[in-house]
Amino acid sequence: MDGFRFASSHANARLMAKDDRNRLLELLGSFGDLCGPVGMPGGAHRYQPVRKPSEIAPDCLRTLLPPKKILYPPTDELLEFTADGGFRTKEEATPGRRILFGLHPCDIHAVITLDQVFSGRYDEPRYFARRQRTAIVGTDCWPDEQCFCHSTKTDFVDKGFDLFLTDLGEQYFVRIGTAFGDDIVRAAGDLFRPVEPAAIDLYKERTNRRHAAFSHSVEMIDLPQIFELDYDSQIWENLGSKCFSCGSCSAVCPTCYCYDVFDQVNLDGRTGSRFRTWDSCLTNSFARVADGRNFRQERATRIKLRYYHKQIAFVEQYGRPSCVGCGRCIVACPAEISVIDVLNAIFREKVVR
Amino acid sequence: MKEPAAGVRADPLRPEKARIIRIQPLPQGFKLFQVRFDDEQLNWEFDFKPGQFLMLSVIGVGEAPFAIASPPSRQGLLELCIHRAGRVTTALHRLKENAVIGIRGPYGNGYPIEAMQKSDVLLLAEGLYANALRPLLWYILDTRKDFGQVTLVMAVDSLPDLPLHDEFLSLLDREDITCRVCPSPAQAGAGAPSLIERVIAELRPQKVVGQNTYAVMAGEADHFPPLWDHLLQRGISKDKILFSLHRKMRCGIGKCGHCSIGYKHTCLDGPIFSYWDAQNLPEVI
Repeated sequence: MDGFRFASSHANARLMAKDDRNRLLELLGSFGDLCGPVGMPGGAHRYQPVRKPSEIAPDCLRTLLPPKKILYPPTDELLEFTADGGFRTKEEATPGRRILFGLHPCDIHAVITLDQVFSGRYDEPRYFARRQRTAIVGTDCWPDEQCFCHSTKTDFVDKGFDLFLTDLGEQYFVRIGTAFGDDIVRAAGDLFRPVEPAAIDLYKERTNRRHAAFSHSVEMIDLPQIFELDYDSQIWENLGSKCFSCGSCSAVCPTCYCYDVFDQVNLDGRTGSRFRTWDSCLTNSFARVADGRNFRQERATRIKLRYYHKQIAFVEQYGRPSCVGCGRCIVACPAEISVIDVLNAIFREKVVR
Repeated sequence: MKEPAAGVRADPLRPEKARIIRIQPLPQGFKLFQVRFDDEQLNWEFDFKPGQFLMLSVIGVGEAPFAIASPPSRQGLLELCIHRAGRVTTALHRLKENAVIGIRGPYGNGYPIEAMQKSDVLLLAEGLYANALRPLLWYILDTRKDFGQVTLVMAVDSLPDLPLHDEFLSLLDREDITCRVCPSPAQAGAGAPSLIERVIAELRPQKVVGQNTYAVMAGEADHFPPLWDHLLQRGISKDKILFSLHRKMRCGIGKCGHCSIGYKHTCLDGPIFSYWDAQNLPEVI
């Protein structure tokens, strides 16, 4: 292999004028059904399929619900059944390709987490049928006071995207993550141009300024051990008395995946479907079994489970917490419970004797 | 885009069509269901370990997890001993013989039967929970030469009220198992010993070689600690003290989240746990 060297990583990066953004969105739309953040009255953003690329709000920081709703819909028809014929897998009607635009690093990490959750000993074919025909065009972002992805180490991605756009002011620094991303670049004509050294300086400078822009920091490294040692902390009782058990935090979480299942019979009384629907471990019925026994009757035990599962159990199972620091649960919580405050309190508060 | 992982993906959530062959009413709101798959081949391919469970669908009503009550040594049909408790089991109890149901599985870890071979086995049960030991008990008796001393100790308040009590009584005549059934407490009323205390009292005179013994217990997990203490005193390792836990389950395959205990899923990592697990997992008791 003497003399062999990899092509400069510039081969997998391009520059694009910011003014050409709509041209890029039009181009992406020609590769599949485009989804992205769309502004709503009141200032919030919704992640959804769009008909026209111009509907997309490209500078949106945080959508109300995360893009998981496209890959893992809130309600999903799993099976069809007949009274004497048994069960049949429900096939999805539209096998078209989807282009998810505007996922930030936290959202991309969340998709990688869902990939792990839905594979393993049992693969979830419905999720992967959608996932395999989904392309991701990520965009970087500027943190607000609810963001803490630098603490969860999810503020940067080096995989999980087909294209990734970093805002350098007048232009985008475009990283190409897959051969499909490269297909898009090659189809784009003069939309992209080669990276020049000055742009790399700008990219470095942007990265450093962004690192410094986070207003909160949470210690995550020793968290599992501290959590276990102070498992009976008073914190959970206090949180239990504040929490409404509404499950908003689960609905808006990009990595929450727990679901409930229900059967619905058609009017003929002979046929019907089995559905799954997003569930939340905060609801009273989550661990309640048929004889009325509830393994987590107290709210404090349910909110503790949520934190334990996201911050501890995931580390045990997949090597990192499932929380990606997106801050959606902080925005959504009607009781104003903040994951940043809770995690810091676990470290700060003295053990109750 | 995400590349496909491996080959064709079967749907792990799709139940196979099955049928109730026979229903035997039992005391205390239990029924014993014998079920078979419509696809004859499946009846012989359905391979499981004692202690594993399956997901049973009552069509149009819902799906729930149930322990397999028959041993894998008796292939060809599955037995399920089911208490009428909630929506699915109430609908199931209304079904007649030959009714179509859905079954998928088996799921869970089951008892570590390979590791248990050549060991002595203590089977300990409080009350109605004795049924949970049935698949393991009959598996051991069907493959008797693979195991050492086998001892069954169960405490019940009223023997005729125990589902399948005649089956347990039939063990008293066998010479390959020491069977102690204590049907009524030594004293009644307040201050009477609990079922677990009676199990311990009955266990006390039994000879137990700690290092070579597995203890398998069936009962309410929060009643276990005194029995655990006793078994530890007899020299049994914490990872050889086994029991089955029950939790709400919607999928059985580690996705729906309902059965989590600490960092484990009852459906994947259980339902059989050891005292060592219980000591290291929150929420077991």
